[in-house]
Amino acid sequence: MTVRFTLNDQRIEAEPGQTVMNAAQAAGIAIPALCHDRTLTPVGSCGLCGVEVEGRRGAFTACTLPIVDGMVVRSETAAVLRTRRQILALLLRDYHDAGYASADPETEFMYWVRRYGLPMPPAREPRHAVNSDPNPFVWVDLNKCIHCNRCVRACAEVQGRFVWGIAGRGRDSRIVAGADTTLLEARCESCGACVAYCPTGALDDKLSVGAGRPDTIVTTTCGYCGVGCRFDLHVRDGRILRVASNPHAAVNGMSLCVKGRYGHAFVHHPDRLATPRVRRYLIEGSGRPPGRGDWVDTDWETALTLIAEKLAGIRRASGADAIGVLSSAKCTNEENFLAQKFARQVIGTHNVDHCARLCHASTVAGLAMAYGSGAMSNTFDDLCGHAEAILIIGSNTTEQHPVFGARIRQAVLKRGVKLVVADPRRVDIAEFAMLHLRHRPGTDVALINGLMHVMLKNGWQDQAFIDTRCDGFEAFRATVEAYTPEAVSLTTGVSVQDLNEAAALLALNKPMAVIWAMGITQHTTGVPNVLSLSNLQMLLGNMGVPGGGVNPLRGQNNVQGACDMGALPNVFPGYQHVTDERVRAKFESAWQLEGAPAGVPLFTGVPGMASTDMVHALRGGKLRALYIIGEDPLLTDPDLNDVRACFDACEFIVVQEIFPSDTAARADVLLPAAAFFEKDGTFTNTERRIQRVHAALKPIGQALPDWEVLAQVAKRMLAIDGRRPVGPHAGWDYPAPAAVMDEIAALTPSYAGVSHARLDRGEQLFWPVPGPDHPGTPILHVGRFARGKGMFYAIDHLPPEELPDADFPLLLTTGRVLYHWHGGEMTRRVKGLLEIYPESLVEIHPEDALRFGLDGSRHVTVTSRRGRMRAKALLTERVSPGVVFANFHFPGDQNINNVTIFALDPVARIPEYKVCAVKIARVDPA
Amino acid sequence: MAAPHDNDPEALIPMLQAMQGRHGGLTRAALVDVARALGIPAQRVYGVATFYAMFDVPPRPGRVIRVCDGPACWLHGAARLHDELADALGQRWRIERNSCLGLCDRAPAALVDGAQCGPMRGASDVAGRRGSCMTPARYATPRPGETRVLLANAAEIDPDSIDSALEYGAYQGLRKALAGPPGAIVDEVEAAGLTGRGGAGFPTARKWRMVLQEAAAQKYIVCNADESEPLVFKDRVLIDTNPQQLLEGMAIAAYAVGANEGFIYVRGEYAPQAERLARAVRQAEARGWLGERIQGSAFTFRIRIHRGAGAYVCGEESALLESLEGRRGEPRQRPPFPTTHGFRGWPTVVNNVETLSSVPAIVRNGAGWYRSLGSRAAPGTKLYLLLGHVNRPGLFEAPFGLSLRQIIDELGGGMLPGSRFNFALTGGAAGTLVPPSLLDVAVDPGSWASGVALGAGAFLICDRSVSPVALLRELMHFFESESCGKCTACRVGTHEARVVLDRLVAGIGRPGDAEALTELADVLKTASFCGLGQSTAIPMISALTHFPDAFQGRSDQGT
Repeated sequence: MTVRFTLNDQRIEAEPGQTVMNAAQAAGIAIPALCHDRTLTPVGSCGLCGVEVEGRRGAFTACTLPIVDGMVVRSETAAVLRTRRQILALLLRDYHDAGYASADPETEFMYWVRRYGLPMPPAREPRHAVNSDPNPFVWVDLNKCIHCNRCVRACAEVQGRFVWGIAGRGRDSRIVAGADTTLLEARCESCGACVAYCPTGALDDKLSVGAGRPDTIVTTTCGYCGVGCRFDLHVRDGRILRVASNPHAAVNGMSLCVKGRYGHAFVHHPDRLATPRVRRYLIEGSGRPPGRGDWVDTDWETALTLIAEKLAGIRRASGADAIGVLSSAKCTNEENFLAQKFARQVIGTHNVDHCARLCHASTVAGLAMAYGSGAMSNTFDDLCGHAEAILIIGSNTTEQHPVFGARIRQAVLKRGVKLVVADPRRVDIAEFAMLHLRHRPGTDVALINGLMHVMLKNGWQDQAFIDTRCDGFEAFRATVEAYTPEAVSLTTGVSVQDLNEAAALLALNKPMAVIWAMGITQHTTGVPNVLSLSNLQMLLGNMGVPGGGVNPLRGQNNVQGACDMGALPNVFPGYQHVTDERVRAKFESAWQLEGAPAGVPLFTGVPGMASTDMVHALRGGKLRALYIIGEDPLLTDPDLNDVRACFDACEFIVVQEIFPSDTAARADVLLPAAAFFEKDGTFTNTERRIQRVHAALKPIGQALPDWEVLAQVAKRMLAIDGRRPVGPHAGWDYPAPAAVMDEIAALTPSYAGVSHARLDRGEQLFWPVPGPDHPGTPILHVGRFARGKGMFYAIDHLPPEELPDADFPLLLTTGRVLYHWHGGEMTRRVKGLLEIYPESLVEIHPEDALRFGLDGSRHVTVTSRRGRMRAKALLTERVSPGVVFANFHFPGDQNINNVTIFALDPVARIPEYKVCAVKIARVDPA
Repeated sequence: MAAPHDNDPEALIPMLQAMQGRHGGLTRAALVDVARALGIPAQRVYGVATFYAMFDVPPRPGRVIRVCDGPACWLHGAARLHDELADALGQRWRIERNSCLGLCDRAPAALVDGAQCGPMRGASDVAGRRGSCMTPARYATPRPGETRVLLANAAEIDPDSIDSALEYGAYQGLRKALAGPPGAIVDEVEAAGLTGRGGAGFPTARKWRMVLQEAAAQKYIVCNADESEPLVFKDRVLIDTNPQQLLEGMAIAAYAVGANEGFIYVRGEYAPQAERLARAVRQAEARGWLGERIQGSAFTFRIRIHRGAGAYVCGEESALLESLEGRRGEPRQRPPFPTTHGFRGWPTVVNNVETLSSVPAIVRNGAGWYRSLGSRAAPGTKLYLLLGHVNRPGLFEAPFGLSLRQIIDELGGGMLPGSRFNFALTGGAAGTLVPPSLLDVAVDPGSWASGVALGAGAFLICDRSVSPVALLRELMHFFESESCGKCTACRVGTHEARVVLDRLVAGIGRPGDAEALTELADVLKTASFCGLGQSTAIPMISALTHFPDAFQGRSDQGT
């Protein structure tokens, strides 16, 4: 049903209930507004959008005026224009511009002032201090505030944080953070949404105030997390001036997080690697000294030739499997594709892996076992728009996927979605939950089995779904039988009442979506944990439906893509198994080389080593060389003391990096890589949404994009061995990443219909995209599972590898924080982020602090059987008594991975970062 | 602090009032604690605490005398009183100005430590709390020409005794109402032609019927006793003379529309009246006229008293509802109207004290009787508030349709000796400035079209000693102080107008000032968000229309 109305003699169709403003915007008619934004609740307070309605007296604000069928509206009459000028004049009376931003892009307010030809009134005395808040990113100048209150609504409705409010009354009213304090004290997350919505520059990006206008604006995809936000980079003279929201961004709209909006300065940091470096002993041809000796800056030709010769030599002497390749989830799809092609075609090994091993290997393995496909089954829009209930288990969503976290807050606030959070820590999103289950770390299987026990006992399962679409139900049911609420309560520490209540909330509100992250996966029971969740969603019939599904949130910007591209030891791109003869044959012919020994296949049918296994294979010499692209295992692998020893044993290490990381310090050749602001290609976000990345800057110094470096090394290695590409996709002469995507499409059924051209047209493609005319697949497993029938698994609770005892009485669990990213190489090079979060903090419960003699936030050591780290104690009830929490964002002795345990899930080979036993001791100043 | 209120954010204002009372104000730390206890953002608590004039953030030491800043007190030398008190008592007391206290019949008035005092002659009146009494005996005897319905038996009934009220027929209307169907009550009130007495004159039964017809799980009756309009104090007198009449009116309204809960929103400055109402509610509950299953019927109705905290804008019904829900008193977008989306989002009747107090007699005596009291166009009686330079100022009850000349000469006893009528401000602060040429217009809800507003029924009679520009300046000062700040027009427009008027009053007007005021009046009328903002233009436009010369340059006549 539509309604019709007339606007300035133009007949317009609109939705019932739509406002005149929104219908006008949709019809391309601009009605000026300052308090209005289509993504915020209309308030009608600025008065600028007043219009006349035939047959009614007075003026009406178009932003709040609902359309009535047959209404006749005029937005440009003489009286309306006069009122607009009066309103603008009144706003100007209270507006004081000190002039510091006069070179910056024109604000919305000044645009309308200019359009309506108003003179600036004589300046009055400023009423407020300029730059009145110490937040490193958000600039506050209340002299420019026109009381539109967009910031207040943006903070509440977009970010769900409620930092900004209005204090005082009348002309003395003003925006305040919290109870009139600083933004950070008022729990500001520095997301900058308030800035993005501000029409006057009263709130501005502090890093960009006075930076002037850009030469170019480039829309690209964020390189931090897997949410896949897009934004506009304002660039001039090769420098980023500002990151601005792009209202058309499909995933995030106007939202960004503190890292995405303000964490870009690292790209210009003086530490950036700009020249290829090799160790002196390699130039001189001498033996490798302990510690590998000095660096020598060199040219690309020397470095590339050296790498090719060295790798070719090792390959000849010890076989292709003596070399391993670590690709990167920070790199583009095109680069990951080339990394595994390099490993498989040029070197001839399946020893290729990347950091998905450390984050979601158990998800990929577990979901493949249960459903046949290991990715998020539904999309953000779908979850936020259709889920009636959400279970977040083991995901600190608002800190690790901040923009999705904010969207979940919105869903709770606007749609009343029933949220249950299961997490040993009181993570931030728990504030929005109806129920927070604080189970003990490492008891996820018991918890989920307990919930399913209650559901089965009450007959809440979707028996029709189970009968028609699943196998293995009876064995599963028999196992769950033993997990009574009473027994589970003892194991998990969650009360019987909470278990019953949570089971009811999750089972009776349909559809229900499950969301998880590392809290589920980083366990020796990672795969069983995932299987338990896949059991849960089959039990309730929540698979293949809008608003349901299994939704593992992938960590890195392109970790989904890196997996899709086959940067894994067991699969070619698109999860085509290396053990499948037909698959191998396809790639053999596509990548066929001439000059290789006849009859010897390019690659075997035996999966290669996982990264966690490669590291340990270095020690015995089984693996002699590592080619590392943008990964930093010496910061991020568990039990680093052991990892260091393994790396020291490695004969030859190549690292492509943007910074001199801890891993780079042990390299033999260090190649300067382009950062994502300097790259072209695609990322695939956690939703399986494939998005374009556009270079906004030229690479710094001599740095090159990773795909170009790989192609150069590949060509040199093939030449050394006298091999020539003859297969249709065997060559390495790619004019641009678009050509790589064409090869991906040709060889990868789930990406068959993907091309840069389609993406550049604005198409939102979720894989599988089986053909160029296929629109993509937002929801997986509709009607049937990828593997046919879904498989229930009978899963029993198993304890973690190492639990607290008398010597190491505390349970350590690890994770990340909002203000830093993984190993922190990028975020530790952003001044403002360090200002807010300057050093490693260990969360300790106040009771434990008392027990171990900590009176306040002192420095402590955290020690395990494997090593020790040092950090500042943060006393907080976010952790339960007996549990401490630390992060791995800081290097050296501040790194918790000196302490963590190398204990793997036997199937997925993922380490148990989430549980080990430690003790803490206070460090007294010397 | 939050526990007695079940940690309910809706109770934020009563909580802050209790804290203010205990600690003489509100610290930021205390506000953050409240926010944490209630589970709401700190900015919301801070925003509320700084919105209402009666909260001190941060706390300020000392007891306070609030001298009335309203136009009646202004006429009676409140400025001098303020300065005298400050000189004499400034060491021990905080002497502050306060928007009109609703004690216009006792001008110049002040709140001394919360006690309503007046007329105050000087510092010597502070210790004895002069004029601090709650039973306005002066309204005991009707003046010639009065017709009393609301004030019937005003002298006889003990306002603090329900038994006394019952002797004079209290709750007989409710008893009669309960015997019939709810729709019959609405029909009766409709037939009586009762209109809203708050100033807008909306037909009461039409509002009730809208709520009656809503199929909703919850409905509410809200009595607007936020009588903050300068020159208006009728609701205070009604509460002080016959509070049970109001409660009965609310109960009848509740029965008529199907509500089980009601609120009386009493302005913060009316603390004694709020206490009196609370006592009346307790007594009515004890006698079974309020509460569970009233008089054995199936009808249950409870009334809660909510005290405002100093904000004129809360007299606007949607702002009042916001305030009642524990938020800043900023008007809501309308539509939807309270009849469909009111208190807590449920259908709600919002009626003025005088409107609801009129209901029991209508139900008791019938629509025909009520219609016989007034004119065909405007049935029933109205309270008039007569102030200024007349011999008998004060409050009286009479039918609609009196002319200003009748009001002054017949009911007001004529102009003061030696005074000559210059102009009148009629309606209230947002009323019309009326020149001598309109003295014979019959004043009723429709007479604004002829330039004489009835509004809430206030009439400030000014002689030649008062300049219309100076009075207008006082009014704009009030509107500026009381603007909530939400919309551009009112927030900046009232300020700009006051600045221009300051100039004119100081005799340093500039060419173009009159045009600037005309322009401001235009934007205030057109582009203000709520009715209060729009109405600020009314006195401006009438003053500019009828007294154009007064705005030309120097203006040194008058107070």
